[in-house]
Amino acid sequence: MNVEPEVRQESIETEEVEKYSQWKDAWRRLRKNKMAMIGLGITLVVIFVAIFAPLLAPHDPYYSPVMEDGQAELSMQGPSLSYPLGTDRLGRDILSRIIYGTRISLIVGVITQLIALAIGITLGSVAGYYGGIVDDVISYFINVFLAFPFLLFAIAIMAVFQDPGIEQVFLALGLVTWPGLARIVRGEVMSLKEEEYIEAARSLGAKDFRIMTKHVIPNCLAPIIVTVTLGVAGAILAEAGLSFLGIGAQPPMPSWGLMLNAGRDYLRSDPRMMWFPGLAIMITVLGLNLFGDGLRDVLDPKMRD
Amino acid sequence: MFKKSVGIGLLLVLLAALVVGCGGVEEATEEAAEVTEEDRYGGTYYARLGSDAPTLDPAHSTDSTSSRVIENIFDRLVEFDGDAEVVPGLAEDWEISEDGLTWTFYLREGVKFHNGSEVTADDVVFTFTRILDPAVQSDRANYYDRVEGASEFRDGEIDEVPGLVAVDDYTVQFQLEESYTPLLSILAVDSASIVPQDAVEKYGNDDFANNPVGSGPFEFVEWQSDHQIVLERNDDYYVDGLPYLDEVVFRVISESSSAFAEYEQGNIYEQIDGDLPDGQMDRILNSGEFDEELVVEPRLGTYYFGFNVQEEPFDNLKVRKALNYAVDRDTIVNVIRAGIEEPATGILPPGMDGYDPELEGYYEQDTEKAQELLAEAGYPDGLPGTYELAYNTDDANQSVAEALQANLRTIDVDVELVNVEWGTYLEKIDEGDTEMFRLGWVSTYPDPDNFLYNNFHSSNIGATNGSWYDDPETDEMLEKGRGMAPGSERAELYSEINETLIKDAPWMPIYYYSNTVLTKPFVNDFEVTARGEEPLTDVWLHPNYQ
Repeated sequence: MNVEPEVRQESIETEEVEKYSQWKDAWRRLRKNKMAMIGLGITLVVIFVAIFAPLLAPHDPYYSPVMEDGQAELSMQGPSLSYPLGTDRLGRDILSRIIYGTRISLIVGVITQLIALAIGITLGSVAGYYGGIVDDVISYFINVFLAFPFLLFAIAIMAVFQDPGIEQVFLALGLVTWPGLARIVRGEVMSLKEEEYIEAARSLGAKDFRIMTKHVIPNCLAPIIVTVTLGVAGAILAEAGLSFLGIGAQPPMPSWGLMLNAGRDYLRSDPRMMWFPGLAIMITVLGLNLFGDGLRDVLDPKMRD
Repeated sequence: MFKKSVGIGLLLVLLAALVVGCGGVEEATEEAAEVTEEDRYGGTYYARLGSDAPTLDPAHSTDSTSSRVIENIFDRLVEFDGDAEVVPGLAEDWEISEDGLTWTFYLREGVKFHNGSEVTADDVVFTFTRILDPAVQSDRANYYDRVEGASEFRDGEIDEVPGLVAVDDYTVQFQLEESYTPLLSILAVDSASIVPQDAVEKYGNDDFANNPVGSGPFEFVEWQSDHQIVLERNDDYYVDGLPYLDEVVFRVISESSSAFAEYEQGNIYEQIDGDLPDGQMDRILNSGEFDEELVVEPRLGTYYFGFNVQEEPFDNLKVRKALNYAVDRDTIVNVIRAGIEEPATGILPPGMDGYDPELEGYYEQDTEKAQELLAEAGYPDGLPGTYELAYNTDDANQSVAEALQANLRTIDVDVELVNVEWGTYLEKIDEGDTEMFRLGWVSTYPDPDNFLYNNFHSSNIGATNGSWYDDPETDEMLEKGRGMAPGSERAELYSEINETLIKDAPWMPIYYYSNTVLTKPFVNDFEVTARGEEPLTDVWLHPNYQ
């Protein structure tokens, strides 16, 4: 009679060890993937820059010595010691603007994905879990949303707003990205709900809501994390695109897309205005994509194309 | 992987070709002297519009984009010549009675609308009755307030305007209640274009904008929204032998840098309406490459930011003055506008009666004074919150708005830039749904009445008075000015109004407009005046480019 509790104890331990080692193993394999580690490094640097922007930026990104202090000669300055990447037409420091731009890009990426997660997980898991007509209706919407080209759809949503701004960009991109997530979650949930431990939970009288939040969703975290990481990169790119077209972030925000737009006129006379924000976008998106790809390889090999 | 890199390589080559391609446009060989009259005929002229035309119905035209197209499709009773003097148009002659109340116009005989029907006095009466018709809701109805019975007709009390009389087929009379000096000029602007009664009745008042029929040098062919407007030669034009061009295509290209690239490629023949791209200004003005193509003309217009004076806190004079004092007009003009324009010292631009270069009350930048005024108004720490500064989508407007925003930060006034597409933008202003907004007023003729009455008379609130400025004394002065005979006394009065308005500050004038226009060397007799681009009636292309 003494033996039984010990046995039970042991079995619980093994399960925990196994769960633990799934993530540990993923990390071990990720570390071997050189490209993924480069991506992770870039991403961490970008996050660091975003957090410590006020300490890193040499100037106020909004301060225009030309208009606020009458120093007209500071307009369109080439790189110098005090302005390492030069100034724009209003005399604002381009380096500082790029540094602060990291914040905007990351915030757009994260908030957009949070919106997409909220909608995508809810609808995806409901569709996958209940199946039947509920699934049909939700899947129908997912397919309709997926039928539109990504950026065009975002532009169409932005056009609905009479006065564009960064908040509208959150919404538009969130609305455009949720169907991808929802579809992945739906698929995962559909296969997971047949698992024995779900059946066990159900037979113990657990409510649907509890089953979904405690058992189903935590078990499809891996593909969600991969999708979200890549989604952040997509959102950053899309924001830059919208801002470049003038329907995203509005001046004087130091959005990279907006800076590209402002530099467009100077493509021939002073291409520096476009190079630096362009590079910033490229590096950030590249970092996130490399990292996301690596994550996909280790967490969810069947998603590989 | 291989395919991908080939794709990327191709893309790079394409991009490089694009960039390089922008440079190489062959110069036209100048042989203009040898071109015979006959050789001038033919060809398609590619023009650029900075935005889609809000309308092609003259009765609804209140903006310069619409009017550029409308002036080519329609004729007016009288027209402006290059010096903005009124000359005969559809009316070959006219008489004004001594008391200034009876205006008689004698029409040319045999002038045909594009649909084949003749231009008669009935069409003229119909045109102006239509503008006054409350069902049509023309923003220009108030231009004809002083026509006898106009107000009663607008209020729906009578069915006809007794002051508009077709005496016979080719004689039309305007009876006024009070003398009204600017009427002759008003009859020469695009909104007074004569429209054919049968065509308007056929298409209906609303759809006429999509099927405009006039008697002008060019006939309407098609309008692809946001893409292009195509016109073709009117073979029956009343001026013998004109126009020269077979076809005119107005392409809608909203971004000035794209338009400039197209201009350099030779895809459009002119760059007007909207500004040349800022980044190219230095090259255009100083490189010598464009010397043959560039014309800079002062223009009868003022670029300004208006306050909605009915909205808090801009209903407070001190706040409006403070903001005016915060603006550094010289830097905006010199740094942002490459020094082409002239900083505004008042509301009326040079060349207009009432313009005064040393206007009392002019706001030279003075940050301290601005701060004092704000403090007096009860805002010692600057304005609380963020205010909306609206502008219509355009690179140049955006740069100026951004500069102004930085300027206002010096006195702790935060503004948020809101960019809106032109058609929607005008509606937004008309509805008073603004706090601060960018706009320019460009007069089509050098009479200050047009400028000030439209922008500041209370009857124009909801139409062209975007500031919702409502001041009985100003109204009175403006009404008085309309009836006065031209001369120094009238100029004096307008100078006084100009001063009152500057002191009352419903606007922050920024600069007086210039027309900076590029036209290809093979485009001949293209005329830009203080009014803007003249109709393309006389324009001809060098035979090598037809």
